[in-house]
Amino acid sequence: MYGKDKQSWLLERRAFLKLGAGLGLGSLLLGWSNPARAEIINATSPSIGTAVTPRASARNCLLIVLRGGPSHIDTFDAKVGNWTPSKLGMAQNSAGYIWPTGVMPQLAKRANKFSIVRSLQHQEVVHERAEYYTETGRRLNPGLRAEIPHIGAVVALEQESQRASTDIFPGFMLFSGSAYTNNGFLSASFAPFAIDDPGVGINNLLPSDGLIAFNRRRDALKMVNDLNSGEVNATRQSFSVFQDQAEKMLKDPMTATTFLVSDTDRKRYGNNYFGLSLASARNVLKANRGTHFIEVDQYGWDNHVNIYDDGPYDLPALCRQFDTAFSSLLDDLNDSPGIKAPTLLDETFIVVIGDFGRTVGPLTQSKGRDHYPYAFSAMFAGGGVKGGRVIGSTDDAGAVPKDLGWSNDRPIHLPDVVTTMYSTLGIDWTKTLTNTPSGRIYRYADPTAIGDDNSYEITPLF
Amino acid sequence: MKRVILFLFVVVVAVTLVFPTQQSQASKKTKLPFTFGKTIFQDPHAALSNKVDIVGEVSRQTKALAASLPPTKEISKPVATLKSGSTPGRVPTSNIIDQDIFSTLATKNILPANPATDEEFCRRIFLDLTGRQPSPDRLLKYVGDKDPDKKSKLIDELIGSEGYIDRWTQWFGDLTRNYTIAQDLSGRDRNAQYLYLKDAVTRNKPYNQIVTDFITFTGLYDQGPGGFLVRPAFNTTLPQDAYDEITAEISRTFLATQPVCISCHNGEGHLEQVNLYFSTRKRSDFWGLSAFLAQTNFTITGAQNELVKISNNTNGEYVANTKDGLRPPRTGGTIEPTYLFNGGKVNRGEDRRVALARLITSDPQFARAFVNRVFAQFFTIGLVEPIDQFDLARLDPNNPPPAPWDLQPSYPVLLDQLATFFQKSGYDVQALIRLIANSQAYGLSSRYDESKWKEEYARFYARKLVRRLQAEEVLDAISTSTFRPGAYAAMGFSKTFSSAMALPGIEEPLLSTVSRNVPPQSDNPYVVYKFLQDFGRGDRNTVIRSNSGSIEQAFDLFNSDLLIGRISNVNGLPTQLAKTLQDKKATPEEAVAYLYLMTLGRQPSATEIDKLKTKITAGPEAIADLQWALFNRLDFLYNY
Repeated sequence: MYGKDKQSWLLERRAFLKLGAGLGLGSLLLGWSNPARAEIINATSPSIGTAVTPRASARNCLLIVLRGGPSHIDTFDAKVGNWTPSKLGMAQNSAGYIWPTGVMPQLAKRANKFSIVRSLQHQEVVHERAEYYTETGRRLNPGLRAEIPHIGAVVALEQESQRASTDIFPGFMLFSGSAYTNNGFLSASFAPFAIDDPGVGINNLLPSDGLIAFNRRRDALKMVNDLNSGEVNATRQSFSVFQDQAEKMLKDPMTATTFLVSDTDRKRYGNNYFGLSLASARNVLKANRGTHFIEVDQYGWDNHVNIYDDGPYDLPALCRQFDTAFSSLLDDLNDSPGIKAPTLLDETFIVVIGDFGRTVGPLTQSKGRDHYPYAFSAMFAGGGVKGGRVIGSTDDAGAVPKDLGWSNDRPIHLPDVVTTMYSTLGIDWTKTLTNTPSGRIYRYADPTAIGDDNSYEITPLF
Repeated sequence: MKRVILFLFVVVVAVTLVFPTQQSQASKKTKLPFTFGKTIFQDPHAALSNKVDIVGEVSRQTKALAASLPPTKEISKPVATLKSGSTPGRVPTSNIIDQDIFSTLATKNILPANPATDEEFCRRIFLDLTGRQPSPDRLLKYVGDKDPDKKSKLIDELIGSEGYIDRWTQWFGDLTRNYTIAQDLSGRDRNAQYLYLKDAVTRNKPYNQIVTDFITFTGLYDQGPGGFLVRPAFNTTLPQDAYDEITAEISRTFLATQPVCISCHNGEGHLEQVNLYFSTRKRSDFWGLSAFLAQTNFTITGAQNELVKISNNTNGEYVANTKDGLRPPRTGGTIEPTYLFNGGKVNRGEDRRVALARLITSDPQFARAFVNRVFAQFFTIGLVEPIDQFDLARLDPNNPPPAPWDLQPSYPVLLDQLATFFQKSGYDVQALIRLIANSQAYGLSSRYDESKWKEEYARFYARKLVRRLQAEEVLDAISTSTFRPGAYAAMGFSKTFSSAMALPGIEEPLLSTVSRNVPPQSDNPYVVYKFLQDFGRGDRNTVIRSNSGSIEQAFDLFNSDLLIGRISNVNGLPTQLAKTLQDKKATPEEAVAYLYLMTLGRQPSATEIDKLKTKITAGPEAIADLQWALFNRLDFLYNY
């Protein structure tokens, strides 16, 4: 069940966590190379406390994190220079903008199905902190680390009241080697449910000796528990709640089949961790059993060294891997009927985002690109997003946002991305929760890290 | 209209990347243009009054657990009833914990719980001191022991035992966040710190000496606890950022307070709702603390750049002149090392880190922070919660903070008394643990007359608050009670480890050694790794240890091979019990009792024996089903 693939990617993941062999401890002294100096774009004075109206255009949110941080100028914000290898095939895509058609040919043909935002700015240049920011929509504060939940947990909390009796899957599912956050101070019921073996299934869904043995044991447990008064006042941590949910899942034949990926789909999505994750995520969305927030991670984008080489974790291969899986996903969601909207794609808001951008212009001495926060891009699709658009732009180098692409007088930041997720899901992003362990009020979308009082939906997407 | 945005953090932000040209604009502002946005703090006082959640949750868990246990009348009788001026089951004591807790409970008219039964206490103290359940023999011996001093003798027996060393080495590893940053999967830095801590726990090295060793370490980071200083600096680009990160980590670890907030901005305008003490401190105060590290060099060395050497120089300075890096620009020139908490300085000719260690270990907060952490380990919640978020302006009962703030500790006098005790003992960790473990307050039952229970009693320890077992405790309990220990490979060790608690770090069991070190028929290392992570072990870095339940845990305890493979093993307990019954070497009642003692660390109640004695004779499969059921009971997962 746990093949070599699984173990090797876990080990690889560990290696990535260690910043890549190229940098190593040198980052103590070197780190990311000195970035081009960014033009500062400041915000207008915002109104405070304005009532918001969520768009409510989606039932699901799929967050795809390109861990490591893809080079934006080689992918979603393509800039051609004398460093650009011909194999990237920089040419116009079907929506008429420059695209690496050589390594993302399928998406080049489907550019009307997604839109790109190019005026994103980051404030982090370290993976751990950047990915934490992506998961939570706020910057890491070590003092509050224990209580801050993943956005998916908040969505699960918000959607709890709408769960039907057939909704046996957890609200928030995670296809990731190592997310940094979980349910935080929220109930453990909203914690991410981790799928570690995409394409195979849930760990320990059934015992090696089968369902009959499980039923026999469960009867024994009931008998043993009935000898005492049992768990009366169920708490939010109450273990019997999790036992009951696990039992429902393991007894529903759909649970096992949902996580299987057919041979055809292994071909269409790619028989690798990311491809299998995305194919499984599609199955989960199609199954419609209560999971409405899914995070799927693709690893390897930290291309400090030999970025254009042809190894499995160099940019061209990662692009191809992404292209294969994501284009199949778009096709499948588009071909699946929705519950409320015509297609499943129409009601699934998809965000594809990396840790941050990468340095622009010629390659570094290591023939790679280092971490870069001042400009980066993200891809959006479904859930009401109008395809084929490019929102915002950067300067010729891709170093700094030029056209901001929206009506607010500052670049787009992660809290705005989070706001857009909440908006499409019909959640008031200005909501707050006060019962935190620290006593700090928790804001659903928290723009304070960018010094603004408000965060904004990326309205031009719709 | 343009507006400077970067410095206006409402939520405290640890590290800030700076857009350099903003500096000039920022400096034009004479005053922080900062307001509490309406949407952020609708009612600051509401935020303060909502801090009970940690305590409330523990209280609810305790109630649920107590309800899952057999009724008290089946296993013990109340020792005494409450008379005015007396406390049930309590004998006069000189223990400072009991003096303060019981007199406070009496003042507040809160009835303390009865003492725990002998067998409850035995399991409890075994788990807290060694992370392991007592063997049936040891538990029964303790229960039958008529010696009035048996409790303190058991505590003495366990302190310093092999299990104690493993458990408290792991505890110190968590405290000092020991994980490896070595590139070569050797674990060299982590292992060096692990071995240092194991030796320190074994020899009961004075805690102030341990901390001095951590702060003043020089040499290669795999020759001692050097990784502690290197890890926070790992992702920094400027020396000042490295010093700041290390300072934040030292403060959190050894002082249990978080000046990291003021490493980016002054406290004023930011921390009024969060930490009264730091709300009046300035960013330059933080720099003063960081400046103690400014004569430390980190040098990357080794043939593969695999080593880091920590050394000292005599001319380094903390210069507040940065425009880049992870924090807002620093201005202010050379900063003199000044101990943030009392203004202490470096003595003439004194090494700066030696001075820092001296100032920290002589700070009353140093002892307070540690005794609170250890107290929390035994009492489930600390006198101050969260345990690493002390507010130094809210500790003194003689000088209480202005409204709406309240004193932070539930027992402010006790906190200081424990700190004084610890300091006077010469920072003797075992003496502190012995004091806590011997207190009658620690020995109270987790049961309570629920009709009289109020959630706010939990904060005053009117009953024993239950603690969820740690991942390692759960796995080790399964291994022990099924007669099949683990064999876990670890980075840099040729031997395998039979206990999860004994593992040197959280990277284990090591997956890449599947074929090399793990004997056949043993556990799949990935399954073990996943099990430990599912049960909240964390990684000591980005993922903190958690005691939450989860669906994954339910699946693990239902179906994992770690469990199924063990209960159905030919050498497992069920098979052996079945044989013993068949050979008439035990009665069905004895078999039921043994199964409960092995699995749950308690005797079955009369009802449990009565109902199960017919089931247990039905063969190994039926016994295995029963053992599985006990593993899936709530009381298996808790120390109560």
